[in-house]
Amino acid sequence: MVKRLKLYKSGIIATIFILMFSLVIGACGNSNNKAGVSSPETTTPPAEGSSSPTPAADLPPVTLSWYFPGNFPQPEQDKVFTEVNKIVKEKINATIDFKPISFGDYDQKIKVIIASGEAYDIAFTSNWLNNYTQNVAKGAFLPLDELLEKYAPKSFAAIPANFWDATRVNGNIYGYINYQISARTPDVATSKALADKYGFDVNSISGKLSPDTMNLLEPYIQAVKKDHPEKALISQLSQIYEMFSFESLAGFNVPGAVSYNDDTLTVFNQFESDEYKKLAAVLRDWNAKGYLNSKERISKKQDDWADAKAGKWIMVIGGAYKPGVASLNSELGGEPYVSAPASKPYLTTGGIVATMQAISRSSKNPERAMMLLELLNTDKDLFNLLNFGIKDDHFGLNAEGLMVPGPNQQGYNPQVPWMFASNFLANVQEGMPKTVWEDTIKMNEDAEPSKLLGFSFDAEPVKGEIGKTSAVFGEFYRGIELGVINETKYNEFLSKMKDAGADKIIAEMQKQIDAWKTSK
Amino acid sequence: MSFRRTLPQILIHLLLILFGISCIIPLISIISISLSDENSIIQNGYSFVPQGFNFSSYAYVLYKPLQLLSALKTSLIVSIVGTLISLIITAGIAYVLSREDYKYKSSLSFYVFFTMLFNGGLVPTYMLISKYLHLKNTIWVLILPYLAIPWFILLLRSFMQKIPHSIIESCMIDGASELRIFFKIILPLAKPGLATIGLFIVLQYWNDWWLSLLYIEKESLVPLQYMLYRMINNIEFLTSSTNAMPPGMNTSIIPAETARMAMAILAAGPMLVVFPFFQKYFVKGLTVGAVKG
Repeated sequence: MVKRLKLYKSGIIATIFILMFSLVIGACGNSNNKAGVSSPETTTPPAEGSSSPTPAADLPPVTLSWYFPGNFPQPEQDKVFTEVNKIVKEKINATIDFKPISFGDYDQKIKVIIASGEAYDIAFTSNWLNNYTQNVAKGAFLPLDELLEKYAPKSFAAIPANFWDATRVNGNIYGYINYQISARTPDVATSKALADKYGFDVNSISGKLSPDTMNLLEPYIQAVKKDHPEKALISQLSQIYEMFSFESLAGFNVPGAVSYNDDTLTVFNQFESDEYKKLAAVLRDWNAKGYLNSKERISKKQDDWADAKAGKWIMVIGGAYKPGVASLNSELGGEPYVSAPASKPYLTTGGIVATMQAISRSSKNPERAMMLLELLNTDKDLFNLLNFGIKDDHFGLNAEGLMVPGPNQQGYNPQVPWMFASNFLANVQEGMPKTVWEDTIKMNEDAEPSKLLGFSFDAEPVKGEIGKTSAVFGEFYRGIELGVINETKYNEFLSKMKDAGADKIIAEMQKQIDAWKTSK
Repeated sequence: MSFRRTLPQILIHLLLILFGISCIIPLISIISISLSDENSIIQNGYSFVPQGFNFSSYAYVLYKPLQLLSALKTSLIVSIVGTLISLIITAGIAYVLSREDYKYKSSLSFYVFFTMLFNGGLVPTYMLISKYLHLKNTIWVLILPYLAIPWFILLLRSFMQKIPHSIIESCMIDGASELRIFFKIILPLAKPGLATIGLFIVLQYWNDWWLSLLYIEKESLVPLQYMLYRMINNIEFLTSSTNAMPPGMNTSIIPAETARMAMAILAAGPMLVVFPFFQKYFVKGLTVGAVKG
């Protein structure tokens, strides 16, 4: 009996030890993993020699796996991928192992794959999905500078140097930019029929909006409102933050911004700025005048275009302005729309690193992967095949060479041109101006680059505070954008932001910016 | 006298009726939405009677029914094969654990129990399955990981413990082998328990999307739940982070409300049929483990 009890006791002790041990091991395993990824064990150095593209026949056949997000699966994706592979096989003797993942799952899935060290070649990365900065910090991606020069000279030259600089981390490029619209400003859109009826010229306010000049819109809103009380002005904070004269560093819902004109690069809390308070006051005023239909809208967390279709919008300030956006809006709103940029567009790191491909450390054929990126970014037909499917089946071209939906469009229509390669190779859709890509490139080039170009904020050290402050934002934003909270409430919002750690985030941002400044 | 007796009964019935209604209402509204006209839903909101009765959303979901059919096929294979194998294994372990005369009973129990609380973690598990076992993109990866679920084993063990040991002893005296006792005596006696556990296992397999999220990249092996989960998750992602995304994402391609509901009906349908079939055993089995000797 005594012996049994002893055994029992030692059993318990042993169990406790095992448990503690397993906890320790678990923790170690974690860091080991990270270390494992960061040590470039499987890196093959880029092949020496020939800088001129080698003919396909000389290259040994390889398979390249490519993880990317999107509206997948598409019903006929295999058919399209097979066609793509025929061309790729012919040109660079490679076969792509396509791994399309749906948007919602991509982040989770790619995280596990990267952490496990599984071999893959290319993956989509950005600041909003499969976080670029964090992955570079973990050492998940290969530096691309040499590869770019050697194997992708054409597409490397096609993108402005300051764009490439925006992707640099410690001097190295880790992301291949899918060239697209990077200059950001919100889009002011209204139904064409409404604008014509009330004599509103959307271009008259083009680029002029700021919290000080919101009254430019008032005559139009007032006129429409008189005849159509059910319609409202839509301006969501999450969408108009790019209208302000400062750059939000960790998103619209997290405190921490730097003014575009500030040479000292001082971080401040944008919610405490005069600009933000002014906007809140304007919205309060507009709510009092009944422009916003707040009572009806407050039950929803955010507005979407379904309401526009139902005829409940006067005008929307939101989304991102870009050439040809009116035709997209018309599709969303179900009737013709007119659009104008809300304010002066700025070029920020966020706008550039939003769409990139990275080559994995675990890739066995980084050179070929780079060749593939070059091919996709220079071969218009191949890109359009991947993007829109098979010609005359999934899409068609009209007499003017503009793209129209094919008879079988539902079979393949992922709608993510910026995800595969340079957006500017895409067929122009019917209804868009023919020069839409030239206009977009011009807009990119004309946009004023932010002084922070090349700086990406690493949110990891203040993750907890960011979570808390964005929760506070989540509590108040709807009230602010619908103008239903008064000044006392707004001050409560500010003090809650403070309690949630706003100052700590700002200090961390300042620290990172200062470090970045000296490293430059 | 009758009043005293009936009042609580009426109350209980009322409560249960309310509960029943609250279970059925979502189902009815889903069916109604799936049959409604998209535009009238945007304008008038949901209702219990379909507005503008039509099947267009089903036509949309079934546009390329191959995907849905192959998903259904995968789900069925995984659920049926998985449940059968899993039941045998679970019953096997549970029986052994329920035998008082098994020498390593406590250590084996502990082993089973331990895995209930601790596991290798996501990444090591992923590495084991994809790198060393090479199970990625096979149907087995959807079946094998759930073959022996500790909770079910312990549940079935307590059920089997209620089978008197003297039955087993008398069989032994008659010269039956252990295997024969297990298959001919224990399993038939444990039928209600097996049915209950079986139902749990079916649900586990049928409702799982996690394994396919991690290990399935081949479209032909995607089960129904994952397909559904993926769709809903995608919609949530697109509506919640449009402002973080590069401009030009056309959100008009998000499947309409009606199509989502049609999809839900098609995915949940088969389970609705299976449930009543098991019901006979279910009530009996629910008391499993309630009384322990």
